[in-house]
Amino acid sequence: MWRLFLNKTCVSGWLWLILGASLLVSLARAADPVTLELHIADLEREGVHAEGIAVSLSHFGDRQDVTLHVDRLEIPGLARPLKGIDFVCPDSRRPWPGLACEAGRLEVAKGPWGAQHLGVDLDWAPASGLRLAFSGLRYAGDRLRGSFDWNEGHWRLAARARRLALAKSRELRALRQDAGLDTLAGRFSGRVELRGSGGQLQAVSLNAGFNGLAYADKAGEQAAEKLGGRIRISGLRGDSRWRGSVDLRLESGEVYSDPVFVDIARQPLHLTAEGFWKKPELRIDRLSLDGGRLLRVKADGRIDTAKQAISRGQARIDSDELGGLYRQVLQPLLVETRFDDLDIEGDAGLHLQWKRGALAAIDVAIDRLDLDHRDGSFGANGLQAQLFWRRKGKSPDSRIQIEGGHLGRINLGGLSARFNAAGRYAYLLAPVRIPFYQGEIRIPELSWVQTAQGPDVGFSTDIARVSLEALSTDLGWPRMRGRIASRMPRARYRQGSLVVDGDLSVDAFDGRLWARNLRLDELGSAAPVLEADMELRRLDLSQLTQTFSFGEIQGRLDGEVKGLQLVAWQPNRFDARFHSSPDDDLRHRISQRAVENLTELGSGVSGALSASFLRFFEEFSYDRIELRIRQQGNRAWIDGIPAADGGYYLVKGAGIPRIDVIGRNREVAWSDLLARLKSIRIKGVQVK
Amino acid sequence: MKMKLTAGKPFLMWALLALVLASCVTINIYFPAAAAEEAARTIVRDVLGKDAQGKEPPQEQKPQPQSSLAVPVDGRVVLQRLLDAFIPGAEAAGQANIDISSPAINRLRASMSARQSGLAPFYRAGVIGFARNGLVAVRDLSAAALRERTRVKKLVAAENRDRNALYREIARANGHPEWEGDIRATFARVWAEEAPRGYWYQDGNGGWRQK
Repeated sequence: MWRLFLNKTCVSGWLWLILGASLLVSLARAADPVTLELHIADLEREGVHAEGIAVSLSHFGDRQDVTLHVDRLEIPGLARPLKGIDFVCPDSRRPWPGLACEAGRLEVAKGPWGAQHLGVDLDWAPASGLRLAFSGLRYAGDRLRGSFDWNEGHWRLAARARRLALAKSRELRALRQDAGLDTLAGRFSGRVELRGSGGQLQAVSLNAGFNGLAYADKAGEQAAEKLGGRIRISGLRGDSRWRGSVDLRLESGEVYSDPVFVDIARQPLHLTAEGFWKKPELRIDRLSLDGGRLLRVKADGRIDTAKQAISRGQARIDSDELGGLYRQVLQPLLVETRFDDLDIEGDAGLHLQWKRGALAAIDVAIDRLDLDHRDGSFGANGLQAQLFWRRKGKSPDSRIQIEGGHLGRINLGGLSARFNAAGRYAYLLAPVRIPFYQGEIRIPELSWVQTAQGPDVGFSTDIARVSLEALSTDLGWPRMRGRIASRMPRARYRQGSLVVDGDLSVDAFDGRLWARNLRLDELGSAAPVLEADMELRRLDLSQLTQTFSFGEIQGRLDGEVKGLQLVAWQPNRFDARFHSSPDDDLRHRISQRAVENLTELGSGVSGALSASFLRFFEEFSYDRIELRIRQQGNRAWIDGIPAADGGYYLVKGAGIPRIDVIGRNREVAWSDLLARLKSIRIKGVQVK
Repeated sequence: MKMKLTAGKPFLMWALLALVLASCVTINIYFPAAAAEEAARTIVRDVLGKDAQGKEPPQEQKPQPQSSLAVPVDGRVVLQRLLDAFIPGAEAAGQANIDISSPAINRLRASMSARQSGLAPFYRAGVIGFARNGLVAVRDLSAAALRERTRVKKLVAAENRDRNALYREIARANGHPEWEGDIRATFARVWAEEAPRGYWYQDGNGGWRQK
């Protein structure tokens, strides 16, 4: 037996190990059989540090047994040193310098992955390099098989897993923490291969299936559960950059990427991508996401990962099933808006372009879209659109057409609108006309400016010759007669407030109403605030009262409402005065029913007239009618024409039989007054 | 203003009092804490609905000063004490109640009540809780199913819009917009007190506690 002891080696220690072993083998050939041992106290090279090395070569003619023992081995990148390493390579037929054993064993007593007992198939010769196959590497709940090839500085490492538990991988745990993930779990089966040269990685490939994959960040905003699918990744280092491709199939499970949730089980996804990576730029030559009829995306572009921005690129997004896309992806985004419970059918395409790090163009094509809110509050059918927006320069004109729609029970005719949208601005190219109950709604102008505080929208509208009869029929109201028209010269919406510039006028009941100083604040909140002053001139009371079956009153009515404020569409304050028109050309007649209703409104007492002999008269003449109501919160004050005895006339009679309605109580709780109004039942409708 | 003076007080006191009354007198209406708490409790119980039923009645709060009379001259403390002693009616003039019956408040209450059934499962699961600023905060989004997470965030945003509007509206409806902060603080405390069993709330240090 020959023994050689080396106490300390330095950088060239590994070379010493090989040369020493070769020397011993050469010497050993002089005597056959013979066992040679080489002991080295410690070795160190490129960060690899080994202690207590013992190599034993037992030479038997043309074969040899080789054993290697290392007390402690530190390798950069390993969390803990390997201890108690024993490698046995029996029955090697390759002449030294060289080793070849098919039934080698490698045992590690302690290490980052615990105790290991690996089967090793090794073939090494200085000319052909090293080829090592291993099996039974216990790692993350699995037993890995793999191989390691090395020749003249080029190497390849491959490993195959059958049921690797991601949660048990110490290395993935560190990566998980770096990626800000709180959870990473699931099973992984497949093959990974790394190729390199010296210390540099040259290529990587992964072909694997996974199931039960789950991940979540700390905030719970990026998460997945029970994901199953397959992934193929390949990457190849070029001169200065990596070229790579990804093929990912998601077949089961759920993914949430704030704010989007996708139920993969209902809609499997297939993502493929090819491109280049050179820090900090990711160049995507081709990206395709296939979500069946629900969603298809094709994109390319360059992403600046340092700035987390798309430097330039484009994406084409198509959906042949907008209803499914709405239910699966969009609906949760619209919770607590008016669009959170829609029935949608249709298809649409979207094309986006980015230039110089910003979105530069949007094209939208909707071939057909029908939508309806499930509560029936609004809907549109036959919507077609070609919409264009450019950040800079001229944008093509956009067009939108709707065959028809409804707002509650109000039907709207079709519309066709042409407009242009570029930069922060959009404006109508031609007035929009919407047929509306034998008349039309006309929007002569509409402009939109996007500001830092939100949209700033200006518009005007006219409503012409709308049939009250048709409108009231659809609304389920008592049948009205005549036509209405209105004009709103200019309105502006910004920061939740709508302000009407000028007077809004409405022609109705053969008279005219004006709303002045009209503004709506806190739009979109639960309690919008409307403020206005109103004026009524020469309304035909006969048309008005017959419509609402209040009891007929003939004559004309003027009125002023000052300081009207509605909060949450409920009166909060106003000062109103309604009175007979001073230059009235109509007869002044009031029916018994109208007298009763006015009396009840003013006093809260009903049936006053029917208890007297006047109940035999169907109607009466009157001189004037006047009603003043001032409201502030839950307090209201009623007044009329001053009467001699301190009361006030609501109706000042004329002729014989003469009837006066005189109020005495001036102050009343607004809630009581409302209750009186509500108690007045009219044909088919109750005041609410 | 009602004044009571006891006969036989020294002349100096009369002169001093006359001087005080002749000077600029300001009545400071302090935030009516007890009334605000009662209003908050009414609204909170109404919004929480069934969840809040069966709760113990709230502990009696230590009454806080409702109003005082102050004069913007030197020695105001002395004068205020004199006035407190001699003009008890002045204090009454500064009292205020909290009105929660405006249409806006009613609409906001209705909106919050309607939303409560959507929020309740997430309160119970610890996904969300009552924050110490009187709003609702996401406590642990991970406790919600993935498909519910966007919905949770949208519901919380809508609830907080309503709560902010409610505090602002109560202050405005009572003619004291500057009370908004006090009203918010009162509500924050009452939400936590009225939180049903299993709900989470933030303590004064921002830590989460479960009822």
